[in-house]
Amino acid sequence: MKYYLWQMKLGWKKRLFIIIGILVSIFVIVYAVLILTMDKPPVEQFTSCQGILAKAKRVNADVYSPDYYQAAEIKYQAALTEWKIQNQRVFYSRDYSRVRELILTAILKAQEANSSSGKNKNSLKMKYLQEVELLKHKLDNYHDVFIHLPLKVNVRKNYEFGKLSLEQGLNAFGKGDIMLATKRLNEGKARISVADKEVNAQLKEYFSDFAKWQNSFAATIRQSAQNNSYAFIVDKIKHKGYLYYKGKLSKEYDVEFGRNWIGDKHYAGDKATPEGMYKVIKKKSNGDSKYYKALLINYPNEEDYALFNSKKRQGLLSRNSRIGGLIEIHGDGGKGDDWTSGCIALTDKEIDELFSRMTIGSPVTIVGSMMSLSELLN
Amino acid sequence: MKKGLLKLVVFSVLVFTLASCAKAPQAEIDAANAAIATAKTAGADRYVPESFNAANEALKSAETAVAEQNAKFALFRNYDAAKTTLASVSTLATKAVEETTAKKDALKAEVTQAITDLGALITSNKELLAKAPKGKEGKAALEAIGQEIAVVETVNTEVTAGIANNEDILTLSDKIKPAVEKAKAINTELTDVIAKVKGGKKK
Repeated sequence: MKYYLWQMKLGWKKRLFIIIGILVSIFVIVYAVLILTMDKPPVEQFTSCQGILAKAKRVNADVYSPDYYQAAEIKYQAALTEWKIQNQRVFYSRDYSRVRELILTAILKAQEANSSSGKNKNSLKMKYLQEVELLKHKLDNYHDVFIHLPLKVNVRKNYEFGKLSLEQGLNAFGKGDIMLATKRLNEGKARISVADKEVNAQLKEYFSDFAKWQNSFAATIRQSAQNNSYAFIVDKIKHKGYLYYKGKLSKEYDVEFGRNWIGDKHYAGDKATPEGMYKVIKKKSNGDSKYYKALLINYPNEEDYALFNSKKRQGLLSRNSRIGGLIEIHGDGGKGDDWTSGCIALTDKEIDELFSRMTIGSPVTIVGSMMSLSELLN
Repeated sequence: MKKGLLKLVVFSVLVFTLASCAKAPQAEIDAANAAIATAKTAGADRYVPESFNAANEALKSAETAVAEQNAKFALFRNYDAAKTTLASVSTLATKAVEETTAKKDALKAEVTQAITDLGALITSNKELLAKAPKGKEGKAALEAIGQEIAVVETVNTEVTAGIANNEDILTLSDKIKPAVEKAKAINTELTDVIAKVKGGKKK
């Protein structure tokens, strides 16, 4: 009986031990099989992709190659999300093929972002520098040409703001921030474009006479060439007087006009400088002129008379208005302002030069501009 | 009874096994994400991009480490390395916020000084402009300089208002520095022109 009982005790402990042992063995075998056969996540590719994305960020690929960089980030996150989804599945049913596909795409996009970033940055730099030159040219134009125009305050302000934006952009460029530099450049361009449009509108009507001016100065140069003589051409917009000899430019001068210089002369006392083809009819010196020396021109000529009378008939001028006269090229200039009553002023030294070269009958042609409006604006 | 005991033993083994499995560090992940978000809100991505990027890179590394452990059989998961990395993310992000604050304070001091300097230059330039001779280019050139002074004065006003309204200090700094340089250039130009004329008159 005792023996029997002892046999029984030994039996169930042994059985328990055997059962546990079998369970553990089955578990280990099954686990080993599953580990060897189940699909594994692409850990190395993720690490590699992180490295490439980090490098791309350091070269600012997110700025200079944003499409590729954003695509790489999106694919990376999609791969990570898919990995998490697969992890939640029962281990034997996991499939990381989609994860591998996404992370490989992310790697390719990140590599492309890296390689194209430098190229794009250089290309942006070149484009920026070209645009800066164009804008500087426009600003030089403003300074050289339009500064004399009776521009509205907001037009001048827009040019100056445009100039400051350009400088802000160059400051950013110097720090390597091409995107900010380009942004400021575009702000400057916008300001200057607004100013140009206003100048264009202001001058468009004035430049409707451009064809006539072109013909006038071409004819004057031809005359100078044919007669082997001097001729003087005045460009009002540029505030310049050009001395030609035998059809070739000999010298240029800064000149000053009447306050209302823009546009033709209409009547006596309007402070406007006339436009047209004239000639020297008298040379004044030794006290003949109150302005040191002067060359009197034949304003008004026949054309001026015809225009004046036509305007009077149309009622565009008052009945009492007179055509005016005594338009000279004279000294006492260099004041830096448009101060005359309609005459053309130079410095005394310059009028001496002109006086010694021009003779009675020398052509004097006064035009609004020798360049078209679009040439001036561009 | 033997069967009951057997079931109890098997059940105990299972419970013990499951209880021993490491748990994903969700709290640490949430804390790291929150730290990055805080750093982004503070502007760390603009003011201290290197520090911010380092924190982001560490977060990516931590997420991969967690996913890698989650892919393993529960008994064999070990999140220690991932937890360490997640802790470093929070540290880096917090450091980025501190650096951002310090940089903003320094820039604000610079901009405030620039406003004062620019104000003084504008006053000086206006006085010099009143004394400036017309010269060859004359009235038109002086009008242009007057407009330049007006433009930098507008920038000074805008930046002063920007400081008061807590606008982005980097943008304000980029705006005012070129304006200060411009005002200095105007000051030098006018001073030189006046000195030349005075020098000419003395002769």
